[in-house]
Amino acid sequence: MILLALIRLGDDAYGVPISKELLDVTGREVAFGSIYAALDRLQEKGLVSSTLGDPTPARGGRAKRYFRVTQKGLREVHLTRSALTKLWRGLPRLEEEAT
Amino acid sequence: MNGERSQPPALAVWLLRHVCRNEDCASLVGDLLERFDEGESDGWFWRQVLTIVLIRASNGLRAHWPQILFSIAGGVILLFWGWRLLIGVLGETLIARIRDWGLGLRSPMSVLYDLVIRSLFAAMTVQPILAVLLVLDRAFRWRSLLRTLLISVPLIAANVAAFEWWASPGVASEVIFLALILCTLLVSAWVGCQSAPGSTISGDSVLLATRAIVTALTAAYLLHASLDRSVYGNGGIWNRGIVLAETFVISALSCWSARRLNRKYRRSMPAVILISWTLVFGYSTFTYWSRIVADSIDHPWFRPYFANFLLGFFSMIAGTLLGGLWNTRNTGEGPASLPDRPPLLS
Repeated sequence: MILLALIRLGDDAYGVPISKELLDVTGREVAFGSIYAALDRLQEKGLVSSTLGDPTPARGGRAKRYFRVTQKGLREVHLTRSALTKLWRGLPRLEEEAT
Repeated sequence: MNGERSQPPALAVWLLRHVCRNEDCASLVGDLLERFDEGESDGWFWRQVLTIVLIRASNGLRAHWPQILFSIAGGVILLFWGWRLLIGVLGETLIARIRDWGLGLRSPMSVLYDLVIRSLFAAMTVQPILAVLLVLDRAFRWRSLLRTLLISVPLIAANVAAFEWWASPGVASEVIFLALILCTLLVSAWVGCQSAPGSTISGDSVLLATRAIVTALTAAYLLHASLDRSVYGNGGIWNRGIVLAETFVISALSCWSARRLNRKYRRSMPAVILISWTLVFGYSTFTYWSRIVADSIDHPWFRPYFANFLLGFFSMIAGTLLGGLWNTRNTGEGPASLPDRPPLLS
């Protein structure tokens, strides 16, 4: 979910827009601590990279940390998508119920 | 945005500041402040901060489980058995011989030696537990064990000294002792197993500082021994001159060697050695001399005796300064000449 949010946000993916994106899509507030914990894990796995922006006075002189999905991360997203698609195709009864 | 409420709860900010210290965390704090500035409530800010605290605490516990288990197991072992478990491994005779060697030293070195030796035995008793846990965690490093040992010895010694000299007996003191020893072992293992990836012993601050302290104490002991020899040495002027020269040379060589062994702290080494001498031996020396002055100032032998002491003392100081400052400028010494450790995040 975080990887998809990063792809949707493009170059403006730092903490605040990511949390808003997740709130818009899921309808639930996700804590910043949880978002950063997930991003740190993704970065350790090489799926995400981050760069620091310039410090701004509005943020108490603290820099924004911009995240970007790496090539490995993109491949992982495609793999997950195809896996999920196959899994959904394996559930004909649920599809019928939904229609 | 509400202009009246622009500051987040002070206590939450204080908590956040103590939980988040590194550069990455600064961005997280900035995000929180930005969202709060957009109109989020105090309750929202508190929820975010508490979530961060919980996540950081659980990450810390998960990442440091060997150190936590080590402190619990080690604390219980030291509380009930102390360092006596080591007797079964090394043998009572060897341990007694090591401890007895210190009895021949003059006070306060004998007391200090006994305290350090007992603390070293205690630290060595629990080290295998940490080694096993680190192996299980696939994080075993000899350097981590050595660092933990070096950090834990003075901390255990401080605990033991505090309890033997000041604490009152009873169950409460045992509980406090266990709590303190748990904290001691946890801090030692936490810091000791935290060396930066890719760091070497030549850049390891704990090992370098420990080596500096040990060499400074050794040099201070040599200064003291040479001063004693020059003060109590008998014979004519010629012999006294030779003994004073010996004091000077031993002091200079001790300080020079200590400086060579601790390149990182070489500029401050003479001062460190003299401070070590003052802390460890200064009290007994000056107490002794104040007593001599009070009791024997009218005695006809007092002046030559006192002059002998002053000559020995100044020989020691001059030798230390010469050994510590010799050739400092020509070799371009100083911390700036040392290669810096590469940044962790680049």
